[in-house]
Amino acid sequence: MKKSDLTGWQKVCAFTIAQNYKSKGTVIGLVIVCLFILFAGPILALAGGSKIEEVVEDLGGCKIENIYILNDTDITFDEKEFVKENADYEKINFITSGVDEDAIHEKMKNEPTRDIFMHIYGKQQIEGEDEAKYRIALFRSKDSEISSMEMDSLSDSVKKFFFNSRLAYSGFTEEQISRMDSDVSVQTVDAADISEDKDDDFDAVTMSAVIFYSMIVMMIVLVSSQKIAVSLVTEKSSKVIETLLLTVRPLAIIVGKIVGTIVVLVVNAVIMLFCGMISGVVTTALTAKKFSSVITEGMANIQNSGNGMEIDPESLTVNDMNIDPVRIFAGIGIVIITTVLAFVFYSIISGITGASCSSMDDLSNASSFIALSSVAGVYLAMGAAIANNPVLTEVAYLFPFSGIYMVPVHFMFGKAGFSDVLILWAELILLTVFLFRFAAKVYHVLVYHNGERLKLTNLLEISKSQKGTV
Amino acid sequence: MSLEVKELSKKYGEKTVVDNLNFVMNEPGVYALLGTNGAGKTTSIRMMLGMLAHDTGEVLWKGKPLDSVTCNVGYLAEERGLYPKYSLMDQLLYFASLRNVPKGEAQKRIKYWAERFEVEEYIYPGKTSKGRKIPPKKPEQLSKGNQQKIQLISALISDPELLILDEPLSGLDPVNTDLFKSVIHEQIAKEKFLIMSSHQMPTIEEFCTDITILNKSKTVLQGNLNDIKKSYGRVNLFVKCEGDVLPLAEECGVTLVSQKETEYQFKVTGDDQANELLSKIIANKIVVVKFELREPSLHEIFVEKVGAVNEEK
Repeated sequence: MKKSDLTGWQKVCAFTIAQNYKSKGTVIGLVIVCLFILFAGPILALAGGSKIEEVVEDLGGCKIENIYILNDTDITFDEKEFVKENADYEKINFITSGVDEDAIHEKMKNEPTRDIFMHIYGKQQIEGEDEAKYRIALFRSKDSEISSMEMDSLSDSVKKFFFNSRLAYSGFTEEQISRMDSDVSVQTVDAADISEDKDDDFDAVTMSAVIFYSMIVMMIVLVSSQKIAVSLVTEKSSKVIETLLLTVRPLAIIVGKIVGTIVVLVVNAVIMLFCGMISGVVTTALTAKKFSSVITEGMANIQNSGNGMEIDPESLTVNDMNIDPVRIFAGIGIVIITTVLAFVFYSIISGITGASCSSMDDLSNASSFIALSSVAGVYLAMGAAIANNPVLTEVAYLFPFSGIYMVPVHFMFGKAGFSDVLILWAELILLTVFLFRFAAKVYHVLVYHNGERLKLTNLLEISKSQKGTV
Repeated sequence: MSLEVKELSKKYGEKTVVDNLNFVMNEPGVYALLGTNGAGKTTSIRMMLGMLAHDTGEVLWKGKPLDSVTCNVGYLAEERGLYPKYSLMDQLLYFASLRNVPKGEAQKRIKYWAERFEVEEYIYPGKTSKGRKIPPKKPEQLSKGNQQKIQLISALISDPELLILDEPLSGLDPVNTDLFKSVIHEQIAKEKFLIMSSHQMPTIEEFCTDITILNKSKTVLQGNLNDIKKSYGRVNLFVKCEGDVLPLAEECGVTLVSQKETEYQFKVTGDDQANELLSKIIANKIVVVKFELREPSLHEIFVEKVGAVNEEK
């Protein structure tokens, strides 16, 4: 490859960019996507207002006034101990004696109250169940102000407290109860992975991220590289290529198209990001305006409850998801670089594919390799993410077709090291250089090819026979 | 020497498509590259322009390898090509920019040539009677002739020193043929170097001073057209009389090629045989309307040369 082989690529690039934005279809598509990004957030914020209100109200404090307790068991339900362990319920009035079940039910049926009726049944076996169980039923009144979320919360607290009460009733000490009550987490660790600090726990967040990222990158890479192939076939089938080759070399044409398409991708991404930021600001403003009073009230209630419930800003970091913020920023850079490398790699394959075809019909057949390799890569990445098998994961990292979809996300979540990223980049760069050199050899022959689609063996023959100089 | 093609060869696998092509253009003018279909004309042109790798040989322009830097070249390809969807103005400006023509200058030249070829309506937006803008037609909606005009504008847009025209007049109606011819004459008058490939022999004869005839990748005839014709001698005799001259022609040993009523095409061995026939016609008091003795046409030379080589093979 001589330096002059690339002369003029900037002009090809500029023309590619200009024609992309002159295409009505492209512009309309971009406008639709931007409008969706702009309006989806604010519309959802407005539509989901009532839900937010409910959540904020729940945060505001406990709505329950009275809890009537009917206990059929020998196990004591000590309401004072219950309140000690669950400070949120300290203002509730517990009524344990003289409880008339029918009268309470009748009252709850007819009028909305802030009362709860709790019936603790003795051990009994219900039809369809294998063993006898204790049952606790919590009733609230018709049209009660007490939300389902609050009922769920009470249910959990009662269940846990009754479990501990059972153990205490059986003669266990507090220490023994604490030991029994502690949760157990089981982790399997491969000794070889200890140094890599890998966590083999099944991680739904990482898996979802791999799937989501794979889909987006596959779409970007496939759609954009396909555009290059279509553009080359159009130039060949319309014979424009003959006019272009008078002043620019085939490699300059393909490089110009690849760079032009990358610029278009980046510009579109920036425009969409800008729309997303505007949408975020508008959504936040709308939400804050609509619910500011509710939030203020809710926060006041939290503070007034005096039960020590605090919101620690430090604790609201992504640390809970086991993600290091530094890794996220490094990861974003890695995502961008990997996507660009993957795009260049696929673009060169698309360029050779496009040049080996003489018509759009040929191209649709020839492009199946690109689509299949990409889909296979995505499936391998997703399979490795789901299976969480170290060997399969390593294979998916090393195989570039799947590595491009997996390694950046796993790096962000701390599952892949920088060494994995470097290996993937090295593979992509080497493959790209190899393909570029191959393209340089065969491309000027391919652009004049007219007739049946050339197969890989034909391309290799052409590559071998290229001894002459241009 | 301005253009020098030396020992240019090209093989595809075992098949030789151009075999040792050599020619020189010392002076401005038109050089013809002729040949049967598949003789290697277009491949030779592509190699000369550096669009296709050559196995051996070199192409020099004023002593330096010919490329877009050393020579301002214009090229009208045999297979006309325009982007089917992009506007013609965008395409012409793109082709101009690839050939380093500044945008302003390119716009001026496009305007000039659009008026000259009467294709403004395809390049510039029009207006309805109510003043509304009408976008120009897309290239795919243009007739073949109009597409060819746009192609020639693209070839001429850099005001090239060397203009290569591959089948420039094929598919044109007589009016547009004359228009193209006038442009070619203009380029010759401006002392440009032209290389023309065509199957239309009268056109070649009208413009070209020197020729190369290719047949199955090999050069079968090369040189100055007038010299080539002179070397064949004046052997074509056209006679139009008001009487039958066939018996007289037989007496002189003249070969009849074709006859249409009293118009005869003869093949003679030379001036003496023709003079003998003319003397006999006059002696027999047959009125002569036309008596023309001329050199063989390029068409005849071409057919003879290519046919002879093919027969030998």
